[in-house]
Amino acid sequence: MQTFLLVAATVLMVVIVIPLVRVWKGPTVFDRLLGANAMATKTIVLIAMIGYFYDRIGMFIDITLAYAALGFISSLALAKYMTAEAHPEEAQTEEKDE
Amino acid sequence: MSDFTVLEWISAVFIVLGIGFMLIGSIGVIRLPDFYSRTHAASKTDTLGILLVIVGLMILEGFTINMGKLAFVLIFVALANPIGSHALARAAMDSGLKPLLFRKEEWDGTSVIADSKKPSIVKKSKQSPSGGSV
Amino acid sequence: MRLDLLLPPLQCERFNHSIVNRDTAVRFVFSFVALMVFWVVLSGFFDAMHIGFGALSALIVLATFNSIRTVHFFEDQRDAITAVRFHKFIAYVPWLIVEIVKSAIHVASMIIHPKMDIEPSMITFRVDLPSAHAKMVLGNSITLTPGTLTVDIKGDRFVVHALSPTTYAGIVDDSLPRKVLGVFSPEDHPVVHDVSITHSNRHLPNL
Repeated sequence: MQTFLLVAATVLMVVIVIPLVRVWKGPTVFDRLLGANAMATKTIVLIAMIGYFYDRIGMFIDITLAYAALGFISSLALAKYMTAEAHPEEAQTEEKDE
Repeated sequence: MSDFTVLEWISAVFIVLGIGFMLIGSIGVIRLPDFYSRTHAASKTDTLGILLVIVGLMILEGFTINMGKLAFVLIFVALANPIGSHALARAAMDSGLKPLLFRKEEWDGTSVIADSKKPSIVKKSKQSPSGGSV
Repeated sequence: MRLDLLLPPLQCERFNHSIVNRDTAVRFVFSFVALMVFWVVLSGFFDAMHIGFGALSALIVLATFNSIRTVHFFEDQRDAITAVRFHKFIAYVPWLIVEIVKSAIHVASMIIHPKMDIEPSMITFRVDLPSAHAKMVLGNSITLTPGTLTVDIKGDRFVVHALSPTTYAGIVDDSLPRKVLGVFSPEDHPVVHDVSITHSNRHLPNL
């Protein structure tokens, strides 16, 4: 099983690197964000598999949960930030209302 | 490979299937023609791949407290990934990124024959609602 | 602590949380049990001290967030877990998983097809659903199904991007939205209306 997990984790690492091409090329900033987001979500699984490989899943699964939450929140924050960038006048009026 | 138990075989099948779906998702991110169609590959095919691998690891783990934690990861990924991709797509739509739409006969495999105009970001103006037609 | 003062004044109409009735009791018990399950699984200890600390922190979290829940964010927002019909919801989840696997295989075959057999289109439609939560569940189900992506929800109007005609068939023929309606309401009526499907970049409607 250890050999299988090692091979699977190696293949997964190659799969994770592929969207980097989109981050590098991507015509718009959203394509770059999408590529980065795709890499981040797949890393969750890689961390869990490394935990099984070293037989210390109890510790690694907590890292996985924290990483998943962090990736989700940063992706939401970046999406919100891009919307605010596109409409600076609306963001200002909202501040004035307060 | 011959010393696998039955449960290990099942979990290995799940992990291989999941990595296969993730590989197809990664290829889709590179191949598909515009941002909105790439979102389908990046967020949905990937989500299924991640869920399959985590189910495989849960079968490998058996009935312990770590299985519950893996179930939390499973539920979190299943809920958070669609919300993240929706937020990204809505941000793109709000900033005026046009989707590339076409019929099957206009598509030659790499580009649109009839309308090769690339999608571009246009600023939405508040005064004319027709200018913001996305 | 008045956390509701930090939030933008979207809707000034507020829920009255001082009244103790069946709804508020069910809501409290449900949130408390969910938080306690989360605590117990993450800690992994089952002795009295750890469970006690868990109950204490769950109560602090509930008390802190009680003031946030008094603010309306949408006009048709209902703050009631009691509106969900759980027997329907338990039947809905496996059905959705089967749909996800089916359409994931379809989308994967389209991606690895050498000519990439896709036909992207924009679909807009109006829905007739009882609450904002029902719309949220429908939007999330649409996004979770590969091949369709909820781009925006404005009022009762959905904007969906679809990768091919096969993937949006389940929305246009009203099968997925009716299941969502069944989760939230005992009555059965057509949900989706005013469907418009656009295949051309030039004829995009005002979204």
